[in-house]
Amino acid sequence: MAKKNIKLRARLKNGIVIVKALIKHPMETGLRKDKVTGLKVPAYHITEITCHRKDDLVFSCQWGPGVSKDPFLSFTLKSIDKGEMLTLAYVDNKGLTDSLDVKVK
Amino acid sequence: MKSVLAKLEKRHLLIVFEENIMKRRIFLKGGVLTGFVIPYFKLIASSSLLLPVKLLASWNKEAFYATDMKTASAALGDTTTHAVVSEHVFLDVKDIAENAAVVPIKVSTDLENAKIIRIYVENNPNPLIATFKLTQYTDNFVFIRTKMRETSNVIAMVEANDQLYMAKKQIKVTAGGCGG
Repeated sequence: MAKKNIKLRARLKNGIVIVKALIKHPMETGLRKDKVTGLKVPAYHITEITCHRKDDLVFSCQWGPGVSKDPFLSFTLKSIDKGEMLTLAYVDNKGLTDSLDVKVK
Repeated sequence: MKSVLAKLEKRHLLIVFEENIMKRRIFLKGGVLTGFVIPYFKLIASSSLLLPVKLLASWNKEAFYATDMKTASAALGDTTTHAVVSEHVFLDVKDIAENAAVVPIKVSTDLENAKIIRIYVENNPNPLIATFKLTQYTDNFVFIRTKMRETSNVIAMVEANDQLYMAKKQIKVTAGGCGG
C-alpha cells in the first residue's frame, strides 16, 4: 500500500473539534522557473479539499496556486462527538487524489 | 517373458504417475491463479471504492488563475463589488513575514449565516488564495499558510446574508528575513 500523503488529527476540546491536516504536496504555481533549463515548471497544486462525516459534507475548500508547499490546514467543527470518524480527501489539478480517515479524540 | 511384462507394467505405472503429476500441476496452477487473481481484483474494486467519496467537481479555474482581484471576484460570481469593512471578520496575521513562502493566516468570524470565507493576497500573481465553504458543522475558523511575492495587503472576505464583509491587513515581506 502506498504511503499516505496526509497527516491528520482531530481533537475535541470544549465542545469544538479542531482538525489539523498536513499534506505533502509540491504546490507548484506554474510561475517558477527551473534553474537548469530556464523553463517554467508547470502548475501542480491542490485544487480541492473536502471533509466528510460519513455521508455529510462537513467542510470543503478550494485552493489556488498561492498556498504554501506542503500545506497545513486547520479548521474547527461543532456538534461532532468523540469517536466519530472524519474523512479528509484532496484532489490536485492533475486529478490525483488521496484520503485519510481519523477518529475524533 | 515375465520380465518384459513387468517392465511394461512399470512403464505404464510411470506414465499414469506422470499424468497424475501433470494434473496436479494444472490443478495447482489454477489454484494459484485464482489465489492471486481474485484478491487482486478485490483489491482494485475496494481501492476504487475507498477513493475520495464525493468531491465537488467545479473548481473555478478562471477565479484562481485571475491576475487581479476584480476579475477573480467577477469569476466567482459576486453580485456586489463592494465589500464592507467589518469588525466581525477577524484576520490574525503577523505584521512582518520572515519567510515569504510560508505566511500563516488565521481567519475567523462571528457573523451569523456566514457561508464562504475567502483569502486574497493583493499583490500576488494570482491574488485569490483559497475559498472555504462553511456548513452547519463548521465553527467559522480557518488557518492556512500562503506564499507571498512581495509586501502586500492580505484580505479576508466573508460572505454572509448576501453581503461581503472583509478585513484587511498589510504584511511586510523582508527579503532576507531580517529586520523590517
